[in-house]
Amino acid sequence: MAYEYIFDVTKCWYIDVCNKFQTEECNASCIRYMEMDYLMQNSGIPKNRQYSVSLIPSKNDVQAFLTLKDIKDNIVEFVQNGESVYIYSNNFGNGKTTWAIKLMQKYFDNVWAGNGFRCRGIFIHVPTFLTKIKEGISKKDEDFELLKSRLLTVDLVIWDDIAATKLGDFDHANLLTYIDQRKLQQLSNIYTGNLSQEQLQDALGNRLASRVWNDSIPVRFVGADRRGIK
Amino acid sequence: MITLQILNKVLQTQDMQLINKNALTEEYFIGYEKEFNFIVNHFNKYGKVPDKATFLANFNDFNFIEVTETDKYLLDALYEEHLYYKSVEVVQKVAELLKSNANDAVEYLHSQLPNLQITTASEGTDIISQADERYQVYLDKMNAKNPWYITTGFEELDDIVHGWAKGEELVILFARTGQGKSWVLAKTLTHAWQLGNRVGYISPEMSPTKIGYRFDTLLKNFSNRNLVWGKDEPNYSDYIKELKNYKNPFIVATPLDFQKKITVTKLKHFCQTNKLDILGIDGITYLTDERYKKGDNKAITLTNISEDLISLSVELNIPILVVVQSNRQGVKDIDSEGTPELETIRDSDGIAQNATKVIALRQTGAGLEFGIKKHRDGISGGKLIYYWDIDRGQFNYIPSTEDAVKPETRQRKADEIKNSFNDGTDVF
Repeated sequence: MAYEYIFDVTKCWYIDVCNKFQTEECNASCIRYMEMDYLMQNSGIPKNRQYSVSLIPSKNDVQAFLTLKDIKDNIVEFVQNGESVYIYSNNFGNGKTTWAIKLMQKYFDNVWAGNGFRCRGIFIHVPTFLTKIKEGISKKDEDFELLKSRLLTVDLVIWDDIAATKLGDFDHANLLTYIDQRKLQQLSNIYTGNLSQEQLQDALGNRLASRVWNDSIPVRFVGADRRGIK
Repeated sequence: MITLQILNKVLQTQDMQLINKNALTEEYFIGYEKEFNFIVNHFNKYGKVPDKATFLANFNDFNFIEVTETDKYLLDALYEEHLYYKSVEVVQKVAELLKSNANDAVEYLHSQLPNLQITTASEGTDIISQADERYQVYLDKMNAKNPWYITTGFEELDDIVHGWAKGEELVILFARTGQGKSWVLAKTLTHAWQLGNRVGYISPEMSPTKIGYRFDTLLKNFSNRNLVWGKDEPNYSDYIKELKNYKNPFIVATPLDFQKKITVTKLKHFCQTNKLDILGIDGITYLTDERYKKGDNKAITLTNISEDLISLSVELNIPILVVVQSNRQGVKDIDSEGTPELETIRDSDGIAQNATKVIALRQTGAGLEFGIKKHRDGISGGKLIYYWDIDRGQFNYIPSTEDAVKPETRQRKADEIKNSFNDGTDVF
């Protein structure tokens, strides 16, 4: 669906900190709101995850959090250098996807000024993406075609839940094409998954696993599932 | 007689220069069209003028005479004779029209006058010997009390197109319907008025009152909705009182002001009477082609009109801005595809050819995109994005690394915008 700009001050990302909130300048013509709205809506980050969430590490994950914080603090350089990170854990619900989104949001926060309504980051839930590619063989979806073309040029892509399922040849070829092309063009990626290096090779095959693991900074979470903990 | 002399001179000198260099065509050789075409075709086929024997073999009653006149004399005489024939035709038609309607007769006469120019054996302008004149124009521009260019009202657009030139300037604003063409025209004309210029706005679709509300909105950001719907708008009455103190006019004319037939001749009169400094026309298709001939299609008519408009701009030394609609191919739904291209200008390539600047407009989900499709004195192909608050008539530049604004200007703007937010704390 084509992007449409709708101003809703209650949905502003900066509502708690902005010096212009509730002033005359807090209106539909706020460039920061416009640009952030464009970046967020076009990124495909699920609507319920588009806002900042505080994450408190379990004792075992402090080092992983520090590594990710370091990446976050230097996210523009990270992306400009075409670097990648693989955030993984055997456990579920301990903040991998939240961290990945946080990194992308921080990137948006850094580049919105002067962006000029360009799509700069895309969130891909890999199992859904691969299913949609198959559906696209029989039914053309223009939005999905646009998304696929953007994958080859956009600054940063989150590949969420990579290798959640064992890949067939068709899935493997598709995923490899996109990731390979991005690596060739020195574009930045964030992968999240549940598999270690050996398991990744088994699930993705050597070639694709090598792109994901060897070309990335691996960050492992060992903490337990924290979903539902307030 | 003169046509006979020229044909004889060509045959005598065996030199086609007299015909080719002066682009003479058969219409100059009334009564000798066959002979003329024979010489031209023979030359094109065999690379030489036919000799006397060959020519006689085809035209045995042709009258060979000795010609000693200069080329210049022959051409001047030919042009005079040609003008005579054309004038007779026009005068007869005018006399015919005068019997029923003097307005139609005079309008027809005006429309034909450009075709009845006195031609002499001129060989163009030597830009070397004429260099002093050119230098003088340059000095006039540089030292003029008022700038030679009228800024557009869009600071960043000026950065690219340098404003509207006072003369030899036909600007085309084109887009599909409902994209904001008329608003952009009104915005740039309002800005020109603010600079002290006398402005003319031809509005075929909207009343002067409605254009007036747009003007008010663009000038002082009054809610256009409130003005149109008659709802309370603070300070509007004070503003109206103050507005009357300005001396330079902003004149809106509708087709009724032109007896429902807007022609370039009438526009010329409109500009001269009101001493306009800039003219905007909200829709080229509402203009009537004065050079229309039976069988002309819409593309030809629009080409004629645009040619006449650029001539008018040259003659009156004012910029003329025209709104044109693009065709269905100009629709682009996907943001990344950008503004419509020149070839989507409805019904005419001629419009784009005659224009000095062509700017395509498109509303994206995020903003109003300006695409610079033609810029005779600069670089084409750039784009610009503005956030447009239609109700308040505000256009805010959105800096983008892909736009055509100078990088230092763009960076300065982006920094200004970013620094205007002082959050203190990190959100993400």
